[in-house]
Amino acid sequence: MSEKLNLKELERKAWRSFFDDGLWDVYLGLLLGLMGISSLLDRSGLSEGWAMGIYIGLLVLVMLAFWAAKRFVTVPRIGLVKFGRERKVRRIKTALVLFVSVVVGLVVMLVTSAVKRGAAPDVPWGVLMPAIWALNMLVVFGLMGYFLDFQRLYFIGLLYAITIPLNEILFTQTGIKFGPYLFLTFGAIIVVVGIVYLLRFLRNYPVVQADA
Amino acid sequence: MTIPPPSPLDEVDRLIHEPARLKIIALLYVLESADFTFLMSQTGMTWGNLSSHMTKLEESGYLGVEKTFKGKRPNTMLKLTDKGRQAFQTYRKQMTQFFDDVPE
Repeated sequence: MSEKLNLKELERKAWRSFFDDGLWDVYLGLLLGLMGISSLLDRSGLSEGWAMGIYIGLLVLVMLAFWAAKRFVTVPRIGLVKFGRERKVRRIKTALVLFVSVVVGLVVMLVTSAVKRGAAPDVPWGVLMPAIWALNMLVVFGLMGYFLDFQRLYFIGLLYAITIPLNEILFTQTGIKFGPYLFLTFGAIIVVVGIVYLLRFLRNYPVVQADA
Repeated sequence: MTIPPPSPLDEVDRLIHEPARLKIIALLYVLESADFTFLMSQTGMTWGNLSSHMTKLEESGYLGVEKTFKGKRPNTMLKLTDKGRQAFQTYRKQMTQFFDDVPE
């Protein structure tokens, strides 16, 4: 029995080593921060087109940086591996969760847009939208953390989830919209955690010089 | 002089029984395939050490080599063959049986 557990643990350790580089944390933290930048761009007086253009440009930059870091920092140090069938099934489940999340996100965006135009039915959107956001983030990050066996996603999901509800609470209490700064602050916290992991990874996994 | 009965340990596959190779085989057993760098990072072995064990395992038919490309660079992925998987399972059974038979 213990032998079985050890083999399972061996596979798990190998799988988790791919999250040791902290790059997912940095990436997700930057995405959260970008939401704050998007809000600041909206307030900056720039035209909607320019604001959207800058946001998309930054988003592409973050995605490219993530891809390049994985390609040129992680893989030369940790190598390539193909995991067994169970991990592949879990990856497919994660992709499905993400797909459902994107659909929910789009619906929320459309409703938000309708609310701004005054075209939505008379329901308390100010309470409902943050609740839907928080629930979506908790469920998505929770399931992703479970399927990917990546525990830090629970913490990241929690920070994603509380941002908008916290903004609404602070707004009702103070009359000030802290939204962008909350996104930036929580994003920065996640990025810092990722950088700590990245530095530890760089120390623990030097570049392999020889070739097979 | 009486000859002692054969022990399960007498039949153990010594190619697998060596600690470093056991580490490599156990790792490849739980994976589909992995490259040299990954095996080094997981086992903590040096390139030369890993390479010599790999050669022995490949010669015995326990290890298969799969040539792929990492971008434009050729990359060698290593995996256990059916023979290697079978040998590891047999080894597990023998060792489990041996330790089960050891009195407390």
